[in-house]
Amino acid sequence: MFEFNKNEPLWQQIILDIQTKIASGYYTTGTQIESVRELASIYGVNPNTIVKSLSVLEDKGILKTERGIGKFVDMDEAAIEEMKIELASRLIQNVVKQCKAMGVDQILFDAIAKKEYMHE
Amino acid sequence: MMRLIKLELIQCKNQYMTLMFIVMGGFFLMGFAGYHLESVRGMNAMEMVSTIYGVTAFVFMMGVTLLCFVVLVRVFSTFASSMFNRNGYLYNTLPVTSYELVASKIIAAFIWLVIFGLVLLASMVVMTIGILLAVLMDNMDIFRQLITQVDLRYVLNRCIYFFMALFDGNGYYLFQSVMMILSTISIGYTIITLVHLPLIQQMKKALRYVVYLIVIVLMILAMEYIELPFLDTWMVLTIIGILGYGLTSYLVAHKIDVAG
Amino acid sequence: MSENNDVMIQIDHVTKSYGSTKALDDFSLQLSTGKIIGLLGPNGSGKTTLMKILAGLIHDYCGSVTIDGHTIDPYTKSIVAYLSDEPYFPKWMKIRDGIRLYHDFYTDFDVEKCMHLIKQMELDPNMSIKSMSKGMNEKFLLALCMARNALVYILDEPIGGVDPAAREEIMETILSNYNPNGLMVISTHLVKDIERIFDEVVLIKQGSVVLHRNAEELREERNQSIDDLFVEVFRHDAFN
Repeated sequence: MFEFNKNEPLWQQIILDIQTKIASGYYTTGTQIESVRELASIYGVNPNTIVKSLSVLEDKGILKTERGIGKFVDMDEAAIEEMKIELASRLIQNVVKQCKAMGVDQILFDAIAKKEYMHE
Repeated sequence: MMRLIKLELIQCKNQYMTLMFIVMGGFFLMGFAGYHLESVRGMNAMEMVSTIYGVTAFVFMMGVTLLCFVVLVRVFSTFASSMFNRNGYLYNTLPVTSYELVASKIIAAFIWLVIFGLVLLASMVVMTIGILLAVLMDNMDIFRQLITQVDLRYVLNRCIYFFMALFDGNGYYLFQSVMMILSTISIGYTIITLVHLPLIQQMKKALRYVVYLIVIVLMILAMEYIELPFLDTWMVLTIIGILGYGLTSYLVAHKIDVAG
Repeated sequence: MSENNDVMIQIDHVTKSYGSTKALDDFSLQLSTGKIIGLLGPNGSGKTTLMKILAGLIHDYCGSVTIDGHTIDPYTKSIVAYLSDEPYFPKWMKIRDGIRLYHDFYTDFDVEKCMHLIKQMELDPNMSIKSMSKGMNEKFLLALCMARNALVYILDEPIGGVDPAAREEIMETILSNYNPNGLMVISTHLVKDIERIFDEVVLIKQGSVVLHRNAEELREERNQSIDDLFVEVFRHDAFN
């Protein structure tokens, strides 16, 4: 089952996960995502939590509803790229903060980052 | 209602069926062995026939009394456990009214009594067969006499006469008996339910049994001394039975806690 | 977001005493349709008593309780699927007798679904209640309960005596029975695994409501899991 950080609202983490899935290509432009019931089962949460996450995603313009059919990814290539950058930035922000706290300067940081990226 | 009664009957089906076979088997052996008593062996055919009649009638009467007692004891003890203990979780969450629930238990208990009554009757036949078999194996002469001399039609007549007695007076007597049995069962249930009221359940165990005793004594006194001028005993019993049924159902629905 | 605010369960000023102890003390609660509610509290806090009242097993109390606008009666019993914390099927039954019973009495019972769940739990319809362990009995009751398409589910410690692997399965079964027109009330003291499925949580302490809030809102406000909140609220009790 999907692992949550239960100290934070689950709906936010679901939004993040769906965004990540779009960014990674799991959901491509125009594909239909799973139904509320299916998503509730996938994430192991209450359907109302899913409904909230999907509604926020719709407000952000990431998903759109086709009446009677379901929800679809409503982002084009450019929008997805932009979102990818945003998600990655947020991840890196955390890392940068922690490294800075350890006294790692920018040159060292870049070197380490490059090495680790090639490693993966 | 039917499904409730069906449920009640299925409950003890296996146990009771085994019991029935044991009872009938027992009577067969009794008849078979009974023949070998000194006094019986020496009889001639006519004496043997009248002995058989006498014995079966006597045993049947005794058996009926014993049967009522045994079945009722069993019925009352299972009523308490099935309604107010853990098993009560099942019955009390079924989507039926308490009136239906209690009625089904009264009716089911009655049906079992009738079934066992019939089993007892059949046992008499089985016992007779046992005797005859013993005769056959021991003394061919007497056996031949029994078979030829005894008028089968006469035997059948006696049996039919016995049954018709039940329906004497347009079945009035039978009706009375049925009402009295149902009422007794109902009153028994009422007493058990009263003892299971939360108020009483919370008392210490010893005190609870005292209450039990008091209620039973009161019941008996009431039946002894309440004499309404124009009502027969069975009518009084029936009225108390009906009131008891109403009280039981009301208490089960509004005052009882299950497995408190 | 579809916010269904119809009240399904209304509990007003309920007090239930056992002698001098109060299992429920002026207890009031209102639960709306379309929610999965977590009833959380330590053992002896009154959860089971409350659920037994809702199921129609306890009748001697003060206050009023209604389900779908009805006082507890055969109608409420027909729309409520109750799972008690202890197994209660009579010893003489076999599994298929229990299934037939539910089929006879509950119109919302789905026999096929039940058979499917039974198989999933590795039980056999010909097994007798007598021969089954406590855990197997609990699984059987759960299967019967979840095979009903009831409006209201009252589950008393459904993951209590179950191993962690089976817990996920049970949570999935519970979620798959979710009905937006219905209500699920689940009591537990093992909050960690199951908190993710709750819409709202009700914390009960010594027969009274301490807290009744939306779970996600609580997480957002307190930056804390419901489990941690639970420990915090009841920590004092642990050392009592």
